[in-house]
This record gives sequence, C-alpha cells and structure tokens, in this order.
Amino acid sequence: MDGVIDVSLLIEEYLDDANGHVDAVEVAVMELEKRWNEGVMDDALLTLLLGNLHTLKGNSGMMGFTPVQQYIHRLESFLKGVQESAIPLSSGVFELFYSAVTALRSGFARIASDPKTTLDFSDELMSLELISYSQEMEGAEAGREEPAIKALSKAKVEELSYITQKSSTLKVSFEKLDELLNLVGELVIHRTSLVALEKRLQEKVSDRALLEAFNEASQLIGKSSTDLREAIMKARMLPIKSVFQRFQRLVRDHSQKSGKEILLRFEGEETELDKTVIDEIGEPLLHLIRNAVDHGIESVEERRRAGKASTGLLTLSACHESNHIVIAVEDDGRGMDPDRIRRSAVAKGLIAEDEAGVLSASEVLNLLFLPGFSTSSEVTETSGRGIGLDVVKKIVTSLNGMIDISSDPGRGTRFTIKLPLTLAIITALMVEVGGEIFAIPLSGVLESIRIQTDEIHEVGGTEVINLRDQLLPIRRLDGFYKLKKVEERDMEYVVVVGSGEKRGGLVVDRLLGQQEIVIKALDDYLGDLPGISGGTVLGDGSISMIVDISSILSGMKSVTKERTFVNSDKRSA
Amino acid sequence: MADFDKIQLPSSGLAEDILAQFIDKAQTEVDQVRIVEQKEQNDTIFHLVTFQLGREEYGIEISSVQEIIRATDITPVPGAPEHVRGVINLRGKIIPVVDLRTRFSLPQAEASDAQRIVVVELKEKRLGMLVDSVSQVIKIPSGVVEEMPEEAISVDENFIKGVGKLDSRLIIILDLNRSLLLT
Repeated sequence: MDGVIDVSLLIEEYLDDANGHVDAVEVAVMELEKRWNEGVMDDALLTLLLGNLHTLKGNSGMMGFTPVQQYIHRLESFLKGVQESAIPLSSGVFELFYSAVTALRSGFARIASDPKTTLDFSDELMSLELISYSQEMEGAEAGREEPAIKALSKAKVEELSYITQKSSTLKVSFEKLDELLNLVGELVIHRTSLVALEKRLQEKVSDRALLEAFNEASQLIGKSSTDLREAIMKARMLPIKSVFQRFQRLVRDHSQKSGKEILLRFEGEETELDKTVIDEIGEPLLHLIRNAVDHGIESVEERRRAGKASTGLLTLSACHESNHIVIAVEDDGRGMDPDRIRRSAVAKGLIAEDEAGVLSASEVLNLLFLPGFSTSSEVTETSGRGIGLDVVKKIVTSLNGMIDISSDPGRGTRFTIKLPLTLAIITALMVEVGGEIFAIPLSGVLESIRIQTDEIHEVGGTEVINLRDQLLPIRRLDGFYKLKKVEERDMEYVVVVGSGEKRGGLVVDRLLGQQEIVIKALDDYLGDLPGISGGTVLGDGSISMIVDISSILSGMKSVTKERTFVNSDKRSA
Repeated sequence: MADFDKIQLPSSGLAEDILAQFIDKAQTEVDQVRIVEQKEQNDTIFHLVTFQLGREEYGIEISSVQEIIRATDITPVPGAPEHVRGVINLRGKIIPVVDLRTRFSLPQAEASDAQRIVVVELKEKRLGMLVDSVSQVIKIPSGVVEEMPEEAISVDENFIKGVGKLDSRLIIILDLNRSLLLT
C-alpha cells in the first residue's frame, strides 16, 4: 500500500464542510449566549457545539492540518469543562469562542488560497489557556457543593449522542441540480410538441378511442413533468435563515463597538427561496443593514432623550407574496429627514433647487437611490461611504426585482425588496418584433395597451404617449434591436414595463400570449448584448431572446419620467 | 509473478538460459516502442474535415469537430458581433453560430440546401460555423502542407495554419482559435 494519500483533491470539499461547521458553531454560540443571558444553560446546544467541533477536528487531522486540529482539540476540552460544570460560563467565554470562529474562518480562507500555508494559532491558544485558568479558579471558588459526579455521568451519555446522529440530508452540488432542471426544462418543451402533434393527429385520425388514449397519455406526461419540475425547484430552495443568520454577528459586533444597543429580530426566516436568489441577496442586505446600524439606529442617550426604549430594534423579515418574495429591513431609528435629503441632493447637484421643492416626501426618499448619494457625512468602518443605496438598487434591479423605501422621521425606516421566486424559470409575455419572437419577463410588465399611431408624440427627441394623464416614454423594439421594420400601421401595441422606479412603453408588432420559459444564459462569445438578458428554447425548438427591461429603460431619456412616474400606481400584474 | 508464467522453463534448467529469455523479451518490447516513435515523427498526418466557402476549400482538424448539422433556423441575436450569424438550439443548449463568410470578408451567399453548420468545441466552448457546404474527411501527410510564407500573411489573415496541396486542389487549413476570434 501507498503510505501517502493525496488529499489535495479533497481540500475544496474539506473547506466547504469546515466552513459549514464553523457557521454552525457560531450560530450555536450565539444561541447559547442568548439562552445564558436569559439564565438558562442549554445542554443540548453544548452537545451540538461539541459535535461540530469534534467532526471538524477529525477532518482537519485527516487532512494534515495539525495546528487546526490541536487548536480545536483545546477548544473542545475547554467546552467539555464547561459541560461538566468545571468551568462556569461568562461573557469572556463567549468572546473567546467568537474570536475562535473568526480565527478559524480566516485560517480556512488562507488554506483556500494556499493549501501549503502553515497556520499558527498560538495567540488564540494562549488566550484560551489564560481564560481557562482564570475560569477554573473562579469555578473552584464559586463552589463545589454541586454534586459533580451526577452532572458528569449525564454529560457522558449526551456527549456520545452526536456521534450516532443520523443525517437525513444529503449534500448535492448545485450544478447537478441545475443540470436536472435543464433536463426537465427539455422535458416540458418536448411535451409541448406532443400537444402540437396531438392536434395534427386529430385532423388525420378518425379513431376516437385512440385519440382519447393518446390525449390521456399526453396529459399524464404533462402532469408528471410539471410535478417533477416543481420537486426539483423545491430541492433548490433554501430557507432565507441561512442569509439572515450571517448578520447576527455583524450586528452584535457593531453594537458592542459603537456602544449602541441593537436587537436583531427575524421574521419569516423559514421562508424558502431559490438558491439563485439566496446567492444574490446577501450583498444588498448587507448594505441595508450596515446603513440601519450606522445611520438609522441612534445611540442609547439619543434614544433615551427621544423617549424611546434604549435598545434599538432591527427587523429582518421575509414572506411570500404570490410569485414574489418580499424581504424587508426595518429599524426603529431616527428615520430620514426629507428636507435634509432635499438640501443634500441640491448641494450635490443631483437635482435643481426648484425641482427639489415640488417633490413629494416619498419622491424625495427615492433620491437616495441615485448614484453618489449618501446622507451621512461621517465615514465609518461598517458602512464606509458613497457605496450604498445606488448599488443596492442596481443589484435588485438586475434580479428583476424592485426596492421601495418608506420612512417616518423619528420613528424608523423600512426598505422593502420584492424579488421573483426563482431566477431560472419565469413567466414571460411573448411578443413578435420584426419577424422574431421575444420574451418579456412578466414580472416587469405592468400592462399592455393598443393605441392609435398618431397618439405617439415626439418630445425633445423622445417618443412619448399620454397614458392616463402621465407622459410615458416609449421605445420601438424593432428600432432598438435594429430589426427589419414592419410597414406603417394605424394601431400599435405598447407593452408598458417597469423596472425599479422607471416606467416605459415598448412598441411591438404583435402580442402572442404568456408562457413559462426556462432562462438560459447566452454564451459570452456573443459579447455584451444591450437589451437582452438571455435566451430560451420554445416549444417548437426555436429560440427566442429574453428582453432585458432594465437595460432598455435605463437607456431612455428620463428627465421628465423620473419625476412623473416615481409614484405612479403600483403594478397590477 | 505474472511475467514468470510466460517464461517457459528450459529443459536445461540452467539459470543462464532463463535469464536469456528475459533479455530477449525486454529487447523486443524496446524495439516496438522505437518503431512507433519513428512512425510518428516521419509522417504527421493532418486529419481534416473540409468544406467549401466561396471558391475555396477549407479544412479544419477533425478532432475539434463535434458534429455537422443542416443550417436551419438560426435565430439572430441583436447586438452580437458582426461575424456571429445568430444562435441555434442544439438539443436544448443554445450555441452561437459564426458566419465564416462574414468573418473572412467574403460576399454573402444565397441560402441553399447545401449549407451546413459545423459544430466545433474549443476551449470548452461550443460554437457553430456556417459554411456553404461540407466536402469530405481526408487525411493528408504533413509533407504536402506548406506553411504560409510570412510575407503573404497580413494581420487579418493569420487564421491560416497552412495550405495543403493535393493534385489539383488547394486546401486552406484553418487555425480555429484565430478563425473564430477566440483568444
């Protein structure tokens, strides 16, 4: 036998797994701290914590990361001391474990960039020794009246329970699931051609019984493929908790550093959403939470002066709303002062002074999403400066979502993000333009209307129509995509679309109806494609391009529109 | 142990005789390897798929060709580079199709039944190439392939790897990466 096993292939898996364990440790420690503050000692949590550490220790040893193994071993035995009540818990102990989590994480990051790197945990080990020494002393003084033997035997039983734990979950790489979804997408498409075939059969075949049997079989295939697709979509769903939880630490650390008291509360954290969305939502949430923590929630004194509870409340919530997921970040801080925003926007040259005067309060809040706007003049470590809401909005818009802000001066601010449930399958309005079929994501379609050609006016180089007393800029898609122009008509179809706060009308040749489509990314060989976000394969095997609403709208002149449509009635789609 | 089975014990039973058999066997193996190596050095063979484009015949190495399909239903992609004709659906995957005529600055051709899309895989990318018609699969020895003289190649034409001369035919052998502007 070969004495050396090449483990380098396993490093990625090890790191993935290790980071998972570290996350779990962090969550458990936070929960433990919370319970401890409530005066409860949670043995089950301790066991869980030990289980995670133990697995991590074993894996690290196997991979030959001896310093990691030794460090975790020390953490483990320290924790066992806690479990056996030899070491009392204290805030210092929690602090120790938080810094352990940080140290391990950065250690793993270093291994990821260079597997040969040698880690050194001597500083951490030293502080561990120090605290265990002082805690043990304290424990010894605090009293030995407790019958230690009883606690010990109980602990011994529980300690082993994590080893025999059975897992009901299975780790599958996302690519595999994605491939499955692709295949099912194909199945759905093939089933559509079966329906077309059936129509042709009905014309040719007179045997009714045969036709019925065919119809039934085709129906069943249709149902099974729909079920299959839904099942796979479900397998890709994760509770948003995993994203929310990442912020516990940020908020906790920050409130300690700044002396603010902040309670982070979750609502609907079990809400599940597609992994494609989970992956993207972290960054915009991070910006919003940093904003709330830095600028929204006031210091303890300021809150007391305002007659509020000294602890600021930051709520992260998620819920389903028909085909969307709504995620909100809400704080009960000082809120936004519209006048200050107005002045600041004018000072920064974002809008003219006379323009600023006529904006309504909610229109003023939307100014915050303009690039380069930041209300706070201080630069802090958490929120930095300059980056912020415009970036958030850009990300949300790129996900076909919308973001809204509402604020009550003195009472707090609420950001609401509305996103499609999945980024892989969407319902689209199919339209014909210049002889080609295009798919417009229905999430961005507000309505479709038919107008007289002479209702289209040209204002300052931009074509507009008057829709219910509001000017709506329009764009002829055949012109935009440089396709051949269909001859002049008396009537035009206009699909009114929205992205973020922007609205516009897209002129198309024909409306073909709604359809569910599987989004496929286009090869980057095709370069940057303005106005196109991807492609999809239709039932007959032909391809159609997916219209990128936000990129078309952002190319439209928006001086009048921004003002006029900022507050237009909410989408009815 | 396995090798021992193939050695027949000589009737003499002498160790020298057994050893001699081993040496013979090893020598044969070494010789075989040498012959194969020589063959590879002498006649490198271009194994090509050739196709027609305008008046010329072009060839690309067969190893990068995935399949050849009829040229139907190419969906145009607005905003794509000029040399890209559009995309096709290849069993559920959307792949770009390069119009080689446009790429090589040849005049556009009428659509015909003979047109084909040669699907190639390069650098983990799958692309189609629209050609007038596909001719054949041939092997030509490197001896009849002439590299393009440096001075004859302008910057735009460095997609040509060489020219194969066969009787009355000239086959322009393409460097696929450069032909398809993959860098």
